[in-house]
This record gives sequence, C-alpha cells and structure tokens, in this order.
Amino acid sequence: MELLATIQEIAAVVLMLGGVGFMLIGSIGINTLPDFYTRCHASGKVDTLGIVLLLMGMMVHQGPNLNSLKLVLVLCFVLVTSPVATHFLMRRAFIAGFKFWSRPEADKEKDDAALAD
Amino acid sequence: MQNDQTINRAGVQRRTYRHRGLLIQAVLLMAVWLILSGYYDFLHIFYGVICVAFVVWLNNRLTVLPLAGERCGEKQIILSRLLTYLPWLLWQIAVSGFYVAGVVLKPNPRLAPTIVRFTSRQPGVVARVILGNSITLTPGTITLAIDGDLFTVHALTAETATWKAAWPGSTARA
Repeated sequence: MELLATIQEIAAVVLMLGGVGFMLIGSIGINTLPDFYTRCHASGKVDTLGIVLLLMGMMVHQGPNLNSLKLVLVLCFVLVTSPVATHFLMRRAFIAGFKFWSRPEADKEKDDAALAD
Repeated sequence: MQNDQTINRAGVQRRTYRHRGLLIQAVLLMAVWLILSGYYDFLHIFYGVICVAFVVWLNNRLTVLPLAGERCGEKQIILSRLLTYLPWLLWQIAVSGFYVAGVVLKPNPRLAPTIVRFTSRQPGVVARVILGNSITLTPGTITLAIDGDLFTVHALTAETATWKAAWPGSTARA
C-alpha cells in the first residue's frame, strides 16, 4: 500500500510538472512569436495541453473519488471552450483586418539554400 | 460519395431517435447534478430531477431556433462514430501541444503562416462545429471562419497546411 501511494504521488507530481512546463512554454510563445495569429496558436494549443496535464495530475493526486469526478467536469469544460475561445479571437482579428506576419524574403532564400544542401 | 451516405443515415436516424437528444441531455445533466451535489438523499435528488426537467424543457424549445441558417436539432450525430472519434481527438490535442511547443522552443522555427481555404461537405451544422473545433485542436492550425461549406484555416507552418487539406471529405482551394 505504501509503495502504491508513493507511485501515485510521483505520477501526480510528474503530470503537474509537465503541465506547468507547457504553461511556461505557452507563455514564452506568446512573448516571442511574431504576430497575433501565431500567438493565438501558442496560447490556444500549448496552454490547453498544460491545463489538461495539470488537471490530470490533480486527479491522480486525489485518487478515485467525487473530487476527481468534479475535475473530469472541469476537463470537459476546458476541452470544449478552449478551441472555441481561440477560434473567436482569431475570427474577430481576421474580420478586423489584423495584419499577417510573413517571413522576410532574405530568410526564405536562406532556408531554400539550407534545404538544397 | 461517403458524405452522401452520411446524410442519408442522418435522415434515417432522425426518424428513429426523435427524442434521443433530449434523453442524452437529461442523463448528462443528472450526472452533473449528482457529481456536483455530493448528497445522495431523497430530497436533494428530487430537487435535481425538478431542475433537470426544467432545463430540458427550456432546451427543447431551443432546437427550433435557427443556427447558421438551419435548425440545429434536425440532423443528429451518429453516437458510435462520435465515441470512436473522441479518443483520436484527445490524442491529437497532445500531439498538437507538443508540436507547437517544439515550434516555440526551436531557435529557427521556419514559421510560414499561411491561410488555407477548403470546402468540406458536412451533413449538418453540428458536424461543421465539430470539424471546426477539431481543426483548432489538431497540430498547427486554427479555424478562422466557416461560411457554409467553405472553411478558412490559419496554419502556423507550411507542413501543417498541407496536412489539413488532405483530410477526408475536403477539397483544397487556393
């Protein structure tokens, strides 16, 4: 029993650390990516995965009881609303005519040269 | 061809399971009530039943409201297919998170944001919502707009743009 509890704790910590890591990467992405649309990719996808991992970690930590069922509800809510929110942000930006970032021509030539090698 | 079959099947299912949606709604709402309340004596469950009945009654009238030009309750999703589709979607969420995280962390990620337009014939408005959501959840793409059957998708890198155009039921468009 003791061993099982230890394994449970370790799994929970690993999942939560993974979640925190993805949230961090998402935040880095929001700061480093070049335009609004690509930043939406970072916040919409990486953060969703981060939240999912965090919630799963909490579920493992709780063990099978009513609280983890409530966490399942939160998980479903996040999975349904997160893509919808991202889509609507992007859609409004698209309609409002936000500019798209595109790769500078000089960089493109460099890439083509690198691919040809 | 495959899409035509889905439409036919949806039409058949509409007749056989007229109240299926309401039943599923009632069961799910009751489950949510039980999970959130945590009290399992008669009185609390009785309150739950009353609330669920009220919400289902309200939602029943919602299906006749037009959504994107058609009634949203008219065509139904095939449940067994939805259930096989969900695990795949969950897996895609993980893949997509890892993919974009990789793009963010790479020193020279070769970003090539592109707009892809393609048409995809879907049997109903709910199916279109599911496809749009799925595109947003899968690696490197987010749905920008849906006009009828025309999907406009923003792709983060060039490779992700070509993946999505190859999805079944879709025809790429410049």
